[in-house]
Amino acid sequence: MIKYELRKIYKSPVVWGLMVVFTLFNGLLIAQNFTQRQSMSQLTDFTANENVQINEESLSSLYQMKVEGLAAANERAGTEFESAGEFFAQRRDYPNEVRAAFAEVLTLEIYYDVARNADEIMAGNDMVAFTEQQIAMIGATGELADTLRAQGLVAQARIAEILGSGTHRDFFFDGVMHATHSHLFGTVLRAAAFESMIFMVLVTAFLIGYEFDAKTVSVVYSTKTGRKLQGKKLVSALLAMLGLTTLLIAIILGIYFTVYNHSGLWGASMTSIFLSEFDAFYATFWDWTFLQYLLAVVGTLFVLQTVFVLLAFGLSAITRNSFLVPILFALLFGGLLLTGTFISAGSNWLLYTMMTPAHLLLRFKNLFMVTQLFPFYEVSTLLIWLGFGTVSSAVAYKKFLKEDLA
Amino acid sequence: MLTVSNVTKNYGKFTALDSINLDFANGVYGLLAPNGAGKTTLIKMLTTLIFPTKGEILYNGQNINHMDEAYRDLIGYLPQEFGYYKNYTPTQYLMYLSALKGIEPKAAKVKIGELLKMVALEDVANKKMKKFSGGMVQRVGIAQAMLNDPKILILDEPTAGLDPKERVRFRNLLSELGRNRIVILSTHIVSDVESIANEIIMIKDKQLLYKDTIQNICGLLKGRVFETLVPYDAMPDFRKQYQSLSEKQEDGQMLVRFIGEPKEGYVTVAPNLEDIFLHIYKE
Repeated sequence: MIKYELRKIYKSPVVWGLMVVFTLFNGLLIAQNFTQRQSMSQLTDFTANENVQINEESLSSLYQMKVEGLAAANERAGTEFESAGEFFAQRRDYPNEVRAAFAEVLTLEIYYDVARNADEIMAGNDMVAFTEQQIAMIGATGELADTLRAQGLVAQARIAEILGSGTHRDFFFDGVMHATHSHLFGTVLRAAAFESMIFMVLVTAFLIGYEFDAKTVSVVYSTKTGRKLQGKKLVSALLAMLGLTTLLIAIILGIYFTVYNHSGLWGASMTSIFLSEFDAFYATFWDWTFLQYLLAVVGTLFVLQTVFVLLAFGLSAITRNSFLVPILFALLFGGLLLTGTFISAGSNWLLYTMMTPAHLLLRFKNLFMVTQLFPFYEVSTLLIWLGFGTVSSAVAYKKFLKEDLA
Repeated sequence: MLTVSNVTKNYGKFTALDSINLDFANGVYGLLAPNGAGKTTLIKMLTTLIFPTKGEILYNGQNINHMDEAYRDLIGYLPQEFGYYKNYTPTQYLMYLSALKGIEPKAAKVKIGELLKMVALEDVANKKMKKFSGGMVQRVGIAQAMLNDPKILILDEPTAGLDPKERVRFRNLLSELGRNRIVILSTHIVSDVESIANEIIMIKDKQLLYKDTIQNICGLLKGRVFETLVPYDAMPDFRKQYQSLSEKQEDGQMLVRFIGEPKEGYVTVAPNLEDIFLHIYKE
């Protein structure tokens, strides 16, 4: 039975049309960092031969590369700069190949300096001060300000923990130079999550409303299976979610990791000192590697899509109108984002109103990070909404079983 | 035995059917009423698509809505507006409906082949239905209703779109099928049921008016149906005086079939089902 329902989806030209459009769009998003590719490969060339950990041996090796690179660049330019930084500070015109040679050295110098000062830089992250900035920015007062301060202390404790365990002493793409974290998780995968959400709402509404649109209600629901077909359609929508989201993510990550080589970095810690970007501090609440983090984010994305399917199912079963469902879903999504504007900045309810799939989607690059609202924000939000989605689907299904289909 | 027991159906304040009582044993039943009389409402309740507001429908003593799948496994239904997937072939669509009816794919393939042959669609079994004529689609509808070899076959306006030859074939098929199952045929076309129905059910003013054999129902107008020739210019007055059932030009006058009282020049004729239908639903 389910194979017949799935057939309705994979035979739909809209599904494949959207997949092509999304893939092209994602290709453009992935290409945004294309100019960084060359300098990013300097690190992967290095980690291919060295341990990803920052230690005496790897520092020494990096230093050697830096010195040799500088000597070669000076020789090519006929100069005697003591650092690439000094070269670029001069602001003189040199041939492009000379500038490129010094740029490579500059990259090595940055990696070397940050690696050598990893402890100092990590210790310099003052989460208490960061929290105070956040409180001032949103104008938080009363119990909300107290709660945020308490979270700031938790984040500060996590930094102390990281310093103690030394997990920050791992090489990774330099966030200030390449911003790979916000590019991959905040741009590319967040776009994929949005696209998958669009897919899920359309596909679920399409499938649940199919018999009403095709005017086959009387034929289909008077068969032995009857109204229970609705339950099978929900299972089919969930399976379609698994299939389409997997395909979408596989294409995206396939292209991304083909363009941006990450070899040697899969085991790098997600508390690496290099992860933070110019205006954002990134370190996970837990000691995860890059691969583990990527899997956790992709897993979150799948659970999020499950929530969207359940919500769309509830709306579809009640309205029986495949055109109305995306509109209602968009209103729900917007409504969830706007709820906080009606809450006092002195109440903890402002935080609770942010425990929604919509906020989770918008805060995608902060998933599992110490800068997240609070530890287990993702898990608790997903569990609440999985529960809500399941209950609303069950209620809609039970209602459908007892409804007149006239 | 299928029993409709004191069934009422309301839509908000509107009553579509009121206190209907009916029994069905094997045979062909013609559910005859004008459009909007409540035939489709009754049929939708018999197919569990809608639920009675009051009363219940029983199959061998069990409430059909409680029987759920077990009851729907017994029925075959052709709705008034037979919906289909335009991009599917008859075979694909019937395979899907077979799955919904719980028929194993292997058995379904064999059955579908037989049924498509029966409705003369075997040559287009793998052509997309979007190119089909109304009659061809209707024949697919008839085939799907037969897929599970139903004990109760419910057909709502089944001859819509069929040409005269197909209608005759279809009527003969129903006569054959009615020997060992309940066939309920809803229509407002008298000729669809006149020759094959064991009993006729008539609904008027939301209530059951008659459920009887054609012979007994026609007996209601025995001795009251006549034919006579009326000059054209006398027709307006004649129509005011009598209920005209049919009119035909003949020998420069109008041959009128009407309901009236015996009179010289009036030829008594045997009433048929159409006379009854026109008489009952004259307003």
